[in-house]
Amino acid sequence: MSSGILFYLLAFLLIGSSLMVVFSKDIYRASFWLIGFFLIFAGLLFTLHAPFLALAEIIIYSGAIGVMIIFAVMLTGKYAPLELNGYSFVGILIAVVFVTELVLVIKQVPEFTNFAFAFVGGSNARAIGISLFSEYLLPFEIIAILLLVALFGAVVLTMKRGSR
Amino acid sequence: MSSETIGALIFLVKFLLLFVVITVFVLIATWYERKVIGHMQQRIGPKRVGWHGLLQPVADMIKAFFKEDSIPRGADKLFFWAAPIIGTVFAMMAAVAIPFGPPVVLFGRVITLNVAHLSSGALYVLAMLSLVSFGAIFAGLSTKSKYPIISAQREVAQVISYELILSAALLNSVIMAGSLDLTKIVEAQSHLWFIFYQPVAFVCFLISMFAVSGRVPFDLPEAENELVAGFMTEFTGMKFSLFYFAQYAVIFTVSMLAVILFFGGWLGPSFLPPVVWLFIKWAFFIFLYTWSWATFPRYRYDQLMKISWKILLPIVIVNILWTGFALQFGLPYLH
Repeated sequence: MSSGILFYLLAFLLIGSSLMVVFSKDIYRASFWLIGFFLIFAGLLFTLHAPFLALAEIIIYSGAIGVMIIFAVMLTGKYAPLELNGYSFVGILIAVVFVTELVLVIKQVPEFTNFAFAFVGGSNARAIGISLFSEYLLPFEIIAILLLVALFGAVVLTMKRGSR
Repeated sequence: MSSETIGALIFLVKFLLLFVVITVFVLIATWYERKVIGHMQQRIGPKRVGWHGLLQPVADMIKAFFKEDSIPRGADKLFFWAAPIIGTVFAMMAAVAIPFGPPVVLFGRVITLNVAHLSSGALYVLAMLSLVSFGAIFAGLSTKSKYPIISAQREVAQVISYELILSAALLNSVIMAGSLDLTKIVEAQSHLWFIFYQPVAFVCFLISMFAVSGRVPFDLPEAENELVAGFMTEFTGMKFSLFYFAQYAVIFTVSMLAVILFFGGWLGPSFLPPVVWLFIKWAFFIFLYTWSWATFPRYRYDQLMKISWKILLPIVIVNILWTGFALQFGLPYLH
């Protein structure tokens, strides 16, 4: 099972890079490791026979989100070494809640490794498109509206008072 | 030899061939661009080394090899080493999926004329191109010196502007062909090139194409009369030339992509082999790059963001909707 070894290697790298994100003192370095994390995750999706998902992951997360993070840091212009402060307690709390939730969900799914194989056969992109626009149409539309609301929110927040 | 070994061997040979082609292109292009721009601006251009300066790139390369490799004291060493490598590696990886012709049968084996044949090749090229820009961004951030940081900031703004337009313009051809496979996209154009169906999408693609490769009129990150050399300012020797290599590799790939998506790839009258047709069309785009370099002024980056988000994005979205509508209802589509 060479793919099994590859999976564990990638998982190991994934954990390593995510630890680097957390423990980096420099915010640009943290974003560097985060982009690496997304890339390795895309590699993991490749080994699960989901090339379309992997490439979308690279384009959206490594490419767009990675650039957006750097852009946001540059825009705010607060370039200082990262240190633990009073708010890190909240972060730890959220992390603990999220991990417990994930563990509970994963325990319920009997064959967790097989979910990617549902998309195998023919074109990945076609299968995902069809299931998005038939089976999961409602969640898809709700997410779209949610993003639209976020967009409007950003515009309203940044609009100068009095300028309509 | 087993079938797998032969497959791996073919892969290796194709990769080396691609590498040689791109390296030769970079060498010739540096000479060609200086020469053509020189003549466009009523100058002579390089003339000293070799016949009409033809050996100039070789001389430049030798110089780059023997230059002292210096690292500024305050630089982030990780970024400083990683940035040129990121740029070059991902630019090469993007070129890997570009097909140079229809699959050929050799000794009973079907050999595709791209290094790696992917069923979602168009998406793959897009993904790799989106990663190339990190080379420039981290290079700008690495040295903590002022011009490179301004350059990195501009590069980020530029990526945010063009990436969406590039993907959306590319999507039009993908919808027309009904496939993400670059070979199938070319085959779908055997009747009529997509430029005749999708002129608007092509214009959007062309504009974002210049922005991707950071060329005039969108060479904001390395605006040499404002920012010294932008993100490359503190780099010397081979690292500096790696950035050039990455940029030209991106130009190579994006021009190929434009030909494949809109100009029928290797399709053409049969008196010339397909590969030659591909390179003839591709040469036109290379000339377009040089031409715009010699003639256009530079845009500011807020202008670039305005162009892409306020003008091009609505146009290209309407175009996608129209394409879907026209295909669904069989409107003027000759098939």
